[in-house]
Amino acid sequence: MSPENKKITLNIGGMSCINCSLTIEKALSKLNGVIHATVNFAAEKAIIEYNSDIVDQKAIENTITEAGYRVIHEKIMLQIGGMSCVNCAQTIEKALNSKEGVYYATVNFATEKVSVEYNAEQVSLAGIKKIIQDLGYQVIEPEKTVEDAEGKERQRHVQRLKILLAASVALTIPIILLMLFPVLPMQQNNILLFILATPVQFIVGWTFYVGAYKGLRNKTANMDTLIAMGTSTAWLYSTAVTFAPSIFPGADVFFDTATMIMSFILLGKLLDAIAKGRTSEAIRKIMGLQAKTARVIRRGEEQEIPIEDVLVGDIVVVRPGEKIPVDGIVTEGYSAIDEKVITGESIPVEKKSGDIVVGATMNKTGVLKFKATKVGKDTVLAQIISMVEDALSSKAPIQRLADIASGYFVPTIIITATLSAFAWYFIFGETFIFALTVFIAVLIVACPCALGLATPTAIMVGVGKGAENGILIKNGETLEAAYKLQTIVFDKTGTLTKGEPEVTDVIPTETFKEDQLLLLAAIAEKNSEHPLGEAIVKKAKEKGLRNDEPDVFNALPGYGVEVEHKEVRILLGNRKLMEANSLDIGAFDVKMRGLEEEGKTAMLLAVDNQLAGLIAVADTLKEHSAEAVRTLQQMGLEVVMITGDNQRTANAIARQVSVNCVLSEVLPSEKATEIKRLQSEGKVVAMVGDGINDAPALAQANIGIAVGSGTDVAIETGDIVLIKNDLRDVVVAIQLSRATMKKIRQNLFWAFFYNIVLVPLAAGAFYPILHVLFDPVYAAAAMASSSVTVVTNASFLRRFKPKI
Amino acid sequence: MAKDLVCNMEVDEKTAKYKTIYQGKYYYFCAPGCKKSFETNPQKYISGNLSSQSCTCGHDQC
Repeated sequence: MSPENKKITLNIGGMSCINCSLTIEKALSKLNGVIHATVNFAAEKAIIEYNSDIVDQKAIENTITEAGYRVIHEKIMLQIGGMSCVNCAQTIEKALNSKEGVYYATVNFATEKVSVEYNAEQVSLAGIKKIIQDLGYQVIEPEKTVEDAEGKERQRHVQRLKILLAASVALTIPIILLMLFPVLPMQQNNILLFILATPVQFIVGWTFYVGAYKGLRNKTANMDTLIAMGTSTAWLYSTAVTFAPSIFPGADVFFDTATMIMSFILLGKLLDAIAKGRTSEAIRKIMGLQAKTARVIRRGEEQEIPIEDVLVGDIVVVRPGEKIPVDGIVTEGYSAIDEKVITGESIPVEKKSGDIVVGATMNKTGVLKFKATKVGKDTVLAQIISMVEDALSSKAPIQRLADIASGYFVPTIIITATLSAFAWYFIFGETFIFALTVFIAVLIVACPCALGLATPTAIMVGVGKGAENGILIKNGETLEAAYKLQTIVFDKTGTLTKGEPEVTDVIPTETFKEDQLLLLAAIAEKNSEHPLGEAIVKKAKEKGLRNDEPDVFNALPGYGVEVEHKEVRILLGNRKLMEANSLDIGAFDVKMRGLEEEGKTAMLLAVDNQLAGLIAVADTLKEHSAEAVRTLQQMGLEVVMITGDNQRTANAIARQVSVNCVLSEVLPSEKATEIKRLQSEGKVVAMVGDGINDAPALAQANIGIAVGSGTDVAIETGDIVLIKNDLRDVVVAIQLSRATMKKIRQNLFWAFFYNIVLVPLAAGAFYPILHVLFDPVYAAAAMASSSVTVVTNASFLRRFKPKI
Repeated sequence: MAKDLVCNMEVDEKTAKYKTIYQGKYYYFCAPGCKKSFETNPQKYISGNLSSQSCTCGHDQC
């Protein structure tokens, strides 16, 4: 194998037969640069040998997805310990992203988590952990269940900071007093100060030295470097003055400065940690929804066990008033369950044998026995939590700019500090102390942390707030897209409408009877998954008609269905279907148009090429659809309706919801293409639909909004998942996303502003005017307050109220 | 006799169990897999991009 040739293995999903694997092989072989491609259908793997000079892995994966299949990426989230600042986060990110097989790694410094998407065939989880550990950080093992490990870790951190701060302040106060009111002559006073200050510098300040060292090891400089340098300089100078007074006759010591700096910075870190703890509350609330124990029947006996010990297949017993512990299927019993947590519906749902129950919902009236189907991380609740956690650890693209800036920031500051000090000493002829003060002040006042915290803090509050209200936002990119949104496309059936159509009219021709017509249609639609078909079957059942299954069934997308039953050929569908079979519908065309103008969908039925009649079905709009659409239009968004329905029906419904732009008669497979077309006009497009049928369109849109379920499919496909079935939530989701994005911009502004104003000030740029130097102690206070400002500003987002 | 455009098998329109309509015209298939392949990307099969392999859809009618 020549050096440029590479061989990779990919896991493939979506193959249904050998044909599929051959299709993929052919598509890959055609790709320029691919030497050899083998797809194993049984193992669901593809092995590709290619020339890396001509083609890369991305192009190969794109070819596979364009062919209609999936390349399976593994995703994992790990908790990281030992990061002391934003630069640490970036170091880890860089190292992971440069590893072959890793598609994408993001580290969120605020939550201390890393999210990695990778190819399990090229790199293993152990390999990823090793990379992180080799850099000097720890990987904290993820807890088995959705327990509040994060909260405990945070509390420990806060405790530690409180102790350090207390120690620092305890020693700083005497130091200040001694400096103001010296009880002893200068030399001895200084020694006393030295004794008080040194422990602060090295014991309390140890964390800064450790942080600076870690940065040095990874060839980066970070905030700890600045603080360590600044305080050490002050301490060294002061020590020299104390023990070798002849070098600096009559000089003052800086012991108070160093210790006060440390105290302020610790205070800032403490407030940071406390604020972070509060913003995680949203997740904690959701986690608290989970039951802690479950009652299972094992070996014929009922036992109460911790929820982590429930196994798939266990029979679980739930009494009235208790929470359903895990997901499952009812085996015995009859009850009503409050599913508000998952669906937003406050009316309890009846459950009986064979029905699905979801963990964290509340059992109201009867006793239920069910078989556990999903436990632990696989339950719907766990997936919701996981989605929120992922969102919190994601980044808005604008953050990447800030990341790049902060990479250069610290070295720039060090250079600035040095140059300024030199300039004042050598060029402007100020005293050594003057220059030293400038040096320390610049190092201390610079705060790269605010830059790094700007986005994560806002995202945490925004996403958390959304989650509390049943709006799950998946990542930071969604927030930015919401800000730039121009067009929003709504699917009709099941999104704008309730998705529960009912038969409204049954109109036979002269040779047929009403019930006969209905029965023929019901046979044709017996196994239909289409809501229109289901409506017909339901109506036939209501009338007590015996609905057989057809012998042969063919769905004809975009036209209708064609079935054969007892030697009779039945056609049920739209005008185009009749046309394709050369059937003239005559007077029924007018009848159809009338019904369609009422917003109904009319279907024609023909038996052995003879028109039998028409059946009309109507689906009602959801209660708040019109309101939601109007509010979105008031917000300046273009609202579009997309549907497979015929033009007349579609327009009639559109009028009822005040939508002006209608895309009708769109085949399900064409919906994504329509979204693409809108995007090619330069628009940022959101698509609102249900997660199951509209998946490709949701994926194509800049923002895919899945409505009306906390199901795993919706969570998989939507960028935003709305748990409730209320379209007003679409408005709230967009408003919230925009508010969060605004917050991020505000934070970034403050972070930059602080530094841009204060660094020159500390460097003495305004000295000629003010004739006062910027005391390093004030620098520390200013620096601490900049990160506190950012965190506090973010928490104001909690006051967000939707305008609808 | 019609031709299954996906795998090139001959199919009798009168007895074919699998069919679909595209742009107003009927198309017939020998197996559900071929019908699905066609519906996913009709243009590919109509424009004469015929696969050279034999029908591997796993049925017993060919």
